[in-house]
Amino acid sequence: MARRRRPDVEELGLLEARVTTAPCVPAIRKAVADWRAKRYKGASDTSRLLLNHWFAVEHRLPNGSRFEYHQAQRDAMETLIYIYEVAGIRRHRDLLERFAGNVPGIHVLQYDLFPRFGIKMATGSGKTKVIALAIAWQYFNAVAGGLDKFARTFLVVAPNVIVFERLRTDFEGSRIFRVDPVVPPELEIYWDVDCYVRGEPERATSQGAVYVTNIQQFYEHSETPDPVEPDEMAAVLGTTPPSGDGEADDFDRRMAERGGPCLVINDEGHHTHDEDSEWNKFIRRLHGEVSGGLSGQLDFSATPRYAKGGLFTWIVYDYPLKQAIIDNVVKRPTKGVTSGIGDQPSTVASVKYQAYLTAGVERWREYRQQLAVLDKKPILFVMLNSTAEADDVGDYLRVKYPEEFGGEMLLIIHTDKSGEISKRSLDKAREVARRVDEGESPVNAIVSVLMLREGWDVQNVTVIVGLRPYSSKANILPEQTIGRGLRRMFAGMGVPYTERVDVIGNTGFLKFVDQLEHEEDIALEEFDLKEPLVITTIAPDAAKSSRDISIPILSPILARKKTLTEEIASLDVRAFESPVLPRKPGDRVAGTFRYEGKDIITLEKIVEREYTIPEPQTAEEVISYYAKRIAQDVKLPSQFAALVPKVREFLEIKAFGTKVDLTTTEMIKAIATPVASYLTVKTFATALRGLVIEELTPTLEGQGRKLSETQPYPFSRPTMTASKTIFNLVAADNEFERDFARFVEDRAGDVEAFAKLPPISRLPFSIEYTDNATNLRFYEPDFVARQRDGTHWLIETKGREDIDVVHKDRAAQIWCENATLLTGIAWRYVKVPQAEFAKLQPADFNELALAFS
Amino acid sequence: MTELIWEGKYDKDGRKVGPLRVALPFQTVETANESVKDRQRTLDLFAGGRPSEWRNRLIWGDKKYVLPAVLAEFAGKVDLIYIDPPFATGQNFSFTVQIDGEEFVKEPSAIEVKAYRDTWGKGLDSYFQWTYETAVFLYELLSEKGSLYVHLDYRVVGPVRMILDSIFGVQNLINEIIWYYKTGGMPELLGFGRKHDNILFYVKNRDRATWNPQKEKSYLMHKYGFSNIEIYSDQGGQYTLVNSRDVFDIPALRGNQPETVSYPTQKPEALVERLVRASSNEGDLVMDCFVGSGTTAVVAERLKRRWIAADLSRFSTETTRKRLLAVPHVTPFVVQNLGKYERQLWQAAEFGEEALGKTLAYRRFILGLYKSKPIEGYAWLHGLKDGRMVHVATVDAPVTVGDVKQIAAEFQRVLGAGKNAPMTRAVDVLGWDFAFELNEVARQTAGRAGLDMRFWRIPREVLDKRAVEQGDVRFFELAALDVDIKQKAKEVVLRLRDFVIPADDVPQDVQQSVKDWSQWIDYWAIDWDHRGDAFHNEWQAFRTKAEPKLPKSAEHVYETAGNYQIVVKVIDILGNDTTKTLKVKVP
Repeated sequence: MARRRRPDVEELGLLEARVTTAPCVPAIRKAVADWRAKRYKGASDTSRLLLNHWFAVEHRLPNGSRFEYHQAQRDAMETLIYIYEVAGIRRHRDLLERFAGNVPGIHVLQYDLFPRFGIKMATGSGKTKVIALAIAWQYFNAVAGGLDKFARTFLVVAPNVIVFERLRTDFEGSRIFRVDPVVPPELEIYWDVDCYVRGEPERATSQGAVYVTNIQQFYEHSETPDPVEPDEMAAVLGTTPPSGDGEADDFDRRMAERGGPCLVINDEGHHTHDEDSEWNKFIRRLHGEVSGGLSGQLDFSATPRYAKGGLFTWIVYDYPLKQAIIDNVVKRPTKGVTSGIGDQPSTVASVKYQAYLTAGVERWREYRQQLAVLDKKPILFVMLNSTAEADDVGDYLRVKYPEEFGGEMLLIIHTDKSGEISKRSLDKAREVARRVDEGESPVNAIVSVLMLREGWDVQNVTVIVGLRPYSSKANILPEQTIGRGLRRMFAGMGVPYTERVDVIGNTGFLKFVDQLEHEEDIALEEFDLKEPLVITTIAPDAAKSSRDISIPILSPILARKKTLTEEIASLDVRAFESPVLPRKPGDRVAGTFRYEGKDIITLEKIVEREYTIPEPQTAEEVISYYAKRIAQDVKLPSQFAALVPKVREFLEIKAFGTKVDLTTTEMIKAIATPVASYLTVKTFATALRGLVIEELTPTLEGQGRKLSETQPYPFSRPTMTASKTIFNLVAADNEFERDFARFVEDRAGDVEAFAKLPPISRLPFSIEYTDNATNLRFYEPDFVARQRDGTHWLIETKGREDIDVVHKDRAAQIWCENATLLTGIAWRYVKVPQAEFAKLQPADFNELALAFS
Repeated sequence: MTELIWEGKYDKDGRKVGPLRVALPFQTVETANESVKDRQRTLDLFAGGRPSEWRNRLIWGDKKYVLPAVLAEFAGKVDLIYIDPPFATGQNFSFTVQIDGEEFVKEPSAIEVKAYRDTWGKGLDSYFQWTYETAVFLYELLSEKGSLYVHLDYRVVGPVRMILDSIFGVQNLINEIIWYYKTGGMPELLGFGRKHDNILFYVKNRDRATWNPQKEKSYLMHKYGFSNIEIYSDQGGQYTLVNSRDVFDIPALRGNQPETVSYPTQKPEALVERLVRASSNEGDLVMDCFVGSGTTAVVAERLKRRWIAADLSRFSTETTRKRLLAVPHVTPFVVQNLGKYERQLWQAAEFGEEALGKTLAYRRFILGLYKSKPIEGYAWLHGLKDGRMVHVATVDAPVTVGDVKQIAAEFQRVLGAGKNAPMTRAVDVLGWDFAFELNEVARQTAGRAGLDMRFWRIPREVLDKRAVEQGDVRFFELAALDVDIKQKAKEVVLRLRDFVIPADDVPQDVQQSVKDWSQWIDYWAIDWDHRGDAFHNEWQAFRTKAEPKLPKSAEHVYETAGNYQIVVKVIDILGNDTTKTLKVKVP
């Protein structure tokens, strides 16, 4: 895990989550790291190409925003590819022998029939994306790589309807494969995969297919024969007609019919440890039914634990919650300290927990106020022990706070005993989950039971209020509960902002949080409910508009000084030198002309071969033909319309030595003779050839981009104030940047304006460049500044050099050269190294520039 | 399972033959009804690579290319599709048009004839395959709450239903709607009068489909006095409002109705409106890829749905455009080409924001065609593909040796040399023409710079091979149009003097049959008072069966004095348009 980016490491004082993990994971981690350092030696060419495309290229989505897979997703895929292709592991026994040699007391699975790997990834860390990548990996190796042990047929199984519904939104219509950069352009022509969700019949034949359903489909399916009717009756009456729509759900049959191996992927597969469960029985049955068997079974889960708490032994990759929190992949849960309040003695939930509810609402209000400027709406999530309590608390909140939680603004989700959302609540819950994240839902609060299971979560939860009787013994995994609020809401923004979800709860609930802390080896931070919430927001300050800086957009147009169309229009055909053409067959060309060094009188023989046109009907046809010929000879694209009137003019007034009427049959024939053809084309070609070869000149069009166009963004590192910047605060990423900003503000008297550049999602400025594999990358410089003499600077502050620095430096240099050339304003680039800067103590910016640029 | 089999359904290996999936890029021709301010913003957005606002879309193109291209962007996002697909008998893309009470038949254009033959070349077999391929795409386009309405008649409803069942699933057929009308047609010699169309109504997912019950009048058999139900009355008698039934009694259009636009397959707005209201909500996305007279787009626009409308007939998209511009406060929409492109749109004659917008649109288009990624910030390098850089040459000038030197120089400067140099030092130059011998001078130049430079000709070598094989993706050049103007006081006479289209754009047999240049013209239209915004066709002329000669002149009498800008728009038989702007001063 050498290259993980950890912006917040300094704050936590942690480098890596050292959490107890599954038996094979430590050895695998080490092996994968070594293999990565060897540039994926031993993996197939296809897999290497995929890894490079997924993780080395910086992606831009069709809507223009940027996209990167995060490190855990990369690690998970690398691990899978390593284990499967390089280590060649196919059985649980091999896995254990190779990677868990020294761990005592582990047993091989009872049915060790096909490859089976577990991927443990914390809630909210993007398992579904890894599922999509795993499918692409197997498919492309099978189809583009022609390796027949890989699968081109896939089954993605959800444990229940709500998880299925979430998978459905990703896979229906192959959405995830179209939206995410899963398919590299090089392999696009091989991509022919249809996704079928439960209920969809088979459509056109495709090379590959992904079937998505919930496991219950297969239990129901196996029960179809009518159990009541005795065989004797069927013998007399004939079999009962099948119920109408069974056909479409026959996924196992359809997978078998496709032929070739199949890969089974269990999402939220923490129920798959019971070897004799219906679920596992079904998968083993499928293994027997498909030709080539299963190429593998992948179990994805955040909590793949046996009942006693131990992790599944077939786990090959583990991305613990603690690490996800450190990496800012999920929100950071913080515990609210609620001194002085407690449960009230009452059997009515809203009375019993009133103090906590009030605290939660207050906190939520603070969030709402702070997030308004960022155009985000927070959600208050209240969890209770039973449906009755949820109803009571829901009603209480609606009545007590009608402005905020009345009617549509509060949603109660009911679940059944196993934690699945009841049918009645399902549609509403899904709709709300989707619309809340799109920012168009009226919902401000959600009340549910603690049982609410995985699969349903929204990004905008900022406050969780958990209320649970102390004595409750319900079998709930704590990560599932907190997990409902872990997904980030600013994830796509790329800002250094540590998102929090505030957890407020009574003692019964906090016991639960303790269990999570113990299991995941985390110590959650605490906050005092009395302390006001402050979210620092960086935004341009209208009062400081003199400090604005405009950055040019460098997309030059390549153009000629005068367009070819204009040049053609200004040709004078009368001035052309050409012999007079014959008007009737038998007439000689009046005057002689040179052709390939020889004087000849008639060209009939020579040109016949080359320049024959079909019997013309109209003069326009001939003119059109000549215009095209001329364009072809002189290599002139798109100038047909400009040439036509000139050719017509030439034939009408010049070619025959006198003005002629081109509509007569005689003249149509005359202009279509081989001689006429040859001469017209040649005359124009001579006149035009010189015009064509002018080189294009780049010119810059359009306005630049101003810092004042920046959209506000949250920021959670130390900031400083400065008068020379247009922003309210300087959002420096580290101490060195703050030192540098202080220098520019206080000492560099020759600088009149500067700014720490905002992230690209807030102001679309970055320098596009390529690394040495010609992958597209984006470079975002740290600072921009304008000196009093008008010189503009791009500034990079460097603590230490990484491997990409040479490319970035060159890209920035060239950008500045081009900007200077095209705008006429001086742009320069300087890189300020930390150690040297400290030694130099420059007196002003010129001195700094002299030393470092 | 019972299955409908037709010739061409399975290939020789027994695999179902799926549709061609070539996603060609769109060419935006115009943004209709857009304010200058909005246009400015769109241009700026272009440069920033930020997502731009939604624009409704009117697309000219064959559904064969339109559907896969739309799919790339809208898979699983379309909420309602209504289609009234063309059907063989008596509907060969010719149009019956009424002008001043007289009936004219507008002959089909060349591309319409080709599409017609593609669909019907092998009779019903090819029609079934065509339907099947269409349905596969429509299914993939629909969102989970989406609905499909297919307008058919008694001749094909049977087999088409079987095809749709096999894709949507029998359980997702919700209704076979009977649209019953009293108008049109003579009594049959044999059989009962045919007074209904059939509309098949499918949903993507029964549990999620959008459904807003519609009400209709149900007249009472007797007069009732009691009122535990709401009873209304009109000239038809007493009635109650009940949920709409699957038999629609909606009058078909007659020539004298205001909404009638002289388009033979035009369907009444009331019919489409009922479907749009029932199966979509405001803001939902409605699509019709055989939009014909434009009814679906107009209804969607009025009901504040977002919409995508397409047709392969230029006459259809022009009619639709005209109808939309007449909708009060129509939201801006873009007109796009697909499969047939017009090169002149990219020819930037002037500099400034507009030139930038055009250039960027052009580059993105060609890079899209070549399946490569854009890179910005450089003058001569515009894209990336497979580890190679890409240069897109301008549309109206050839690539010169000087250009090649510049490309090589920028590559050197940008990508560097020595140990940081890219592993592949290669550039693909995409150009319309090359002002040198490709294999010699330029290669030598590139070779000296240590570059692997390859030259590809647009469009043929840049386009997806599968699209090339189809042979009907074209990049048209601007045709040459000459218009003469004569003015006598307030009366202005325009005369077409000459129209020349590029010779090799035209099939040989078509070429041979043309005896006069006016035969190249499908129809032409005039906006007598063009205000610099959208083109309004106030007058149009085309050939008809009765009068096969195209009228070549048009006259107009201005009512008030002033300076006018006249725009003449000629649509040729290949569907291209060529416009000419003229100015008059009316005393």
